[in-house]
Amino acid sequence: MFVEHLPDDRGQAHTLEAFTAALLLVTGLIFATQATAVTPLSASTSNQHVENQAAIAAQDVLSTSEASGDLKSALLYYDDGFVGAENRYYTGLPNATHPLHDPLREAFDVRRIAFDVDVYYPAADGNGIDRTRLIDMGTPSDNAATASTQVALYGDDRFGAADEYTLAENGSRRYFAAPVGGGDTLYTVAEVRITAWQM
Amino acid sequence: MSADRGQTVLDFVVGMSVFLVAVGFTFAFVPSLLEPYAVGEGAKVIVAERGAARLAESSLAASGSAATLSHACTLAFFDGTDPATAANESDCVWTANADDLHAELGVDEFRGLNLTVTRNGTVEELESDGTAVAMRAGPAPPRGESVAAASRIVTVDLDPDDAVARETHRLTLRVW
Repeated sequence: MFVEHLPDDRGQAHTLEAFTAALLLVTGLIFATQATAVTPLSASTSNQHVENQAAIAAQDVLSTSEASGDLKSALLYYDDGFVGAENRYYTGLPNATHPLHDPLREAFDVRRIAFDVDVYYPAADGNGIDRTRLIDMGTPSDNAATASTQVALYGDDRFGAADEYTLAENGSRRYFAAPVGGGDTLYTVAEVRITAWQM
Repeated sequence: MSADRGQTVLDFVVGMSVFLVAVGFTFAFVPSLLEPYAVGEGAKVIVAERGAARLAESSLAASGSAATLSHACTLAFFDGTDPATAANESDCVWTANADDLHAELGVDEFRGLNLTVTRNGTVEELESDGTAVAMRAGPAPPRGESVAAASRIVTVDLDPDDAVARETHRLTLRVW
């Protein structure tokens, strides 16, 4: 058995071996957490399921609002900047009268998911693609999900705060997208893209 | 035992307890490191996503459009109408109603399923001729188990007779 010695007989202050062994175990554990890419402690924004759900929600918003015509109404709600926006585009959820308020609120806003909505269309000089922001909530994270759809705009579509203009007459001066080709009916085709990410 | 040992009982107690705490911590922590790679969870997520997709894109959808629900088919699905009657009257494509979600989604009976259609977090009701049918099916999910959920954004007209058009709702399928 152990014998209690007088202090002046002691050859060792503490049990260094046990401390060393404990340190080795913890070091091994730290090495393991660094070696695995995904651990329970990783940020949940990189979760694949969360990303899939955001992409599906974005696609659903586009397909339902396209079917109901709300998506096109939102694109035509423009009079030198989107109507009701402070800085040509919205920086948050558009107000309740906006056609996309309802779907975007249910899909993203109540879930505290941030989103950007961008519109891409052929540039006025015929070279390349131009972009106009519809909603901008900031820079997406690395794990953002996107979905997009195309909307055709016709010459007799009316735009403006109270639908006072038509694209064929006033489009080239007052609308963000320029007419393409020389056709009478088709004005342009715009691609609407939603980028959603967990804040 | 040699009387020349330099280690006192106190040293031994301190050192050993530090060591044992470290061993315990390591053994407790390692299983949680492997948790993201556990297999069973993935199946639930897939069942939830596919099930929600089937309901939103074909079973309850109006013909030719994904995520836009048909009022007649959704109402018949949730109020327990016979599949043959629903197919005759409104051309619905679902083969089993909300009382038998497992059959409609092709999921084994040992899994739990719960379906809700909500707006702003509350389950909405479909109106038809003055009767309201809540859009929910299946038992409440258990608190102690891990539940996978998948959502779709859908539009449905709650009452075709009123002036309000289709509104956006969230269709959620929970699987455990």
